[in-house]
Amino acid sequence: MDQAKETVKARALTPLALAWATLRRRPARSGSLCLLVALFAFALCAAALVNAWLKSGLSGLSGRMGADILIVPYGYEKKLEGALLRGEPSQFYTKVELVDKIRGHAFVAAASPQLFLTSLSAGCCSVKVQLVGFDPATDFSVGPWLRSRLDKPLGQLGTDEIVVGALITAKPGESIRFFGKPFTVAARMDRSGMGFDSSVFMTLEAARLLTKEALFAELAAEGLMPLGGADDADAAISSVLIKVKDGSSVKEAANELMRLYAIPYNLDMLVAADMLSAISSSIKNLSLLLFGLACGLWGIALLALFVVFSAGQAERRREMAILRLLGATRKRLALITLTEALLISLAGAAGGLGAAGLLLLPFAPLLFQTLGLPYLPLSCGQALAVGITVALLALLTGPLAASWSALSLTRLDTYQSLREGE
Amino acid sequence: MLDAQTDAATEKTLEIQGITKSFGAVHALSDISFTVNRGEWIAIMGPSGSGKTTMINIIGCMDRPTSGAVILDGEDVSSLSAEELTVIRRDKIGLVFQQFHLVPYLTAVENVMVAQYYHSLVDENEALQALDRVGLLERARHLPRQLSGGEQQRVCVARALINSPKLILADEPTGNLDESNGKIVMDLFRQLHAEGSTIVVVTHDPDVAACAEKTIVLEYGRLARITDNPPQTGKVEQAGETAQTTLDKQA
Ligand SMILES: Nc1ncnc2c1ncn2[C@@H]1O[C@H](COP(=O)(O)OP(=O)(O)O)[C@@H](O)[C@H]1O
Ligand SMILES: [Mg+2]
Repeated sequence: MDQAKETVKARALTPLALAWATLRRRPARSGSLCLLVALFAFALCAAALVNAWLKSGLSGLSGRMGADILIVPYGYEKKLEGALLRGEPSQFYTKVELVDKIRGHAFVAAASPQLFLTSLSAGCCSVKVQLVGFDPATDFSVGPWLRSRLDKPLGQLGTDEIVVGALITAKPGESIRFFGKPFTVAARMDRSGMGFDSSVFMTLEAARLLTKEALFAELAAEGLMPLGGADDADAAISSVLIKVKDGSSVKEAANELMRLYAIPYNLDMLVAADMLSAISSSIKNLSLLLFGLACGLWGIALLALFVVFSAGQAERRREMAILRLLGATRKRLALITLTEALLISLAGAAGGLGAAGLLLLPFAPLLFQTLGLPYLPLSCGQALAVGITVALLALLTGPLAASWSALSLTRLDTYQSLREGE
Repeated sequence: MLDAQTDAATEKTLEIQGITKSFGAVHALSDISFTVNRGEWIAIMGPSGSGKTTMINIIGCMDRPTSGAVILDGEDVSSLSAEELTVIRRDKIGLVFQQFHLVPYLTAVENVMVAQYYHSLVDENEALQALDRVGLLERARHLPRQLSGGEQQRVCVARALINSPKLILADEPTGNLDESNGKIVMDLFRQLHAEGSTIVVVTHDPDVAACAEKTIVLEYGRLARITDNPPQTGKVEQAGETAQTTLDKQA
């Protein structure tokens, strides 16, 4: 008889099959629980991704900056920060003689000027771009970075050549016009996560020529005249980047420079470390907020799962008691419950991660730009690590919430549970 | 089934020896003794609260007596652990309840298969045959809520008989059914009895009790009397036919 049975098609009502039947035939309940887990997975994923993006953006930023102190005309430190972090175009000027004076101090290891210009419109770009003129002879800030893409020494970059940031859509060899003057793209940089991505780099000389010759009329018309007027264009710079000697205090150096030059040259300055720590703290706040949200959603998901699976529910207790009447051991009841919870978690985790992949990855650059924060795409490995961590936590949610219920099912009083239904 | 018929007259399927059951201060059963022989059909009657359900729960290995012995198929089960009782229950007993107690998220055939699963092996064809027997083959893929009370109770009967239990227990099987559905279910019991099943039915309906060979009457948790019902051999066969025709009409 038993042998005959074995030959017939057998469909085993394993704990998995029973759990699946429960979920499938209660779509509203299962769906809403899945949704909660999915929301949690999504929020956690968002938090983890944003955190990872911000960290990589930040490390890119501090590595790229190179300078300890940045000197700008008084009142422009916010503008410089905007240009550095977000590539917000701006221009401001001070005098070039300052560079040599600063270089003269014992505590200064290096000082190099930069000249900023804002393109009004360019063939390449629908928006204004930040043009950055750097001094190939003295630069220690963007130079090393630019060299990673440029196939010739910085000094050989011609006055009609430019290096463009990753977000400027122009290939090497192509030509772009700024203020009517054509420039050849010598190289295009990789993503840096900071304002440099939407900036265009050229030599200081090229930037001066552009300021002076081509565009003076246009600049004047726009009221964007250099501080000292046309005659001073040769002497104009926007910012001085300073590297302090090892062993000297950046704070003290900054104070000394301010004391000497702030009033005569009408200057202000940014200490890179302060700027970065300000960004760090805003990053911390944002990740904290997102992690807080994820935690809150986790709590809600846990609670909802707990309530639904709770053996405190007479209906559920009754169902389990019926299975027990038919011969299921208490361990099996616990197993069915845990399987059911795991299936919900699984679906939720898949949904949440899928949604995060579809919504967050493509729109992250836009989001970060809006928030004014540095953005750098994650490597596959990093993204995978985030995904796996989130998936594991989401998968754990269901069984965790149901574990108490599973445990209490092992103490279920069959007879009592069925009587309650009467 | 062939086994069941040898020594049918003498073999004791169930012996209740002086059992009592107390729930705290409530004495639900006091000093009850009786015997059910193989192939016998016994009815337990009594007013509400007289301990009928408590009795059947103890016989059905869902509960243990406070004292006394329950000897089921030669084995004293009165002091077994809950897990040991579970094994006895699934191997030897088929249960039918007033409230049906079907798993709400499983279809009719799946409800029958669950009983198979915990007992031995799942065989869908056999489960379908059992449903066919109670006239519900066409409703095999329906969920309990899509079935009428009478149909649910018939699924319950199919589930109870699927593992060929030593003993079929029914607690008010017609209690939630209208007269015609009650009759269909009782006809099923008649058939099972005619085929040699041992049956204990709890009821407060004298007509239902009259189908049995003996009636045990409980009052206030005590055994008031055991009466032998008039033999109904002719009636059983006749009823069997009636059941078959009723079911044929249903199918
Ligand atoms: N689990 C329980 N806890 C307390 N009292 C119970 C319990 N089960 C049954 N009783 C009591 O035992 C008595 C018999 O109940 P029961 O067996 O359900 O009677 P019947 O089925 O004949 O109506 C009743 O007084 C009932 O209240
Ligand atoms: Mg009762």
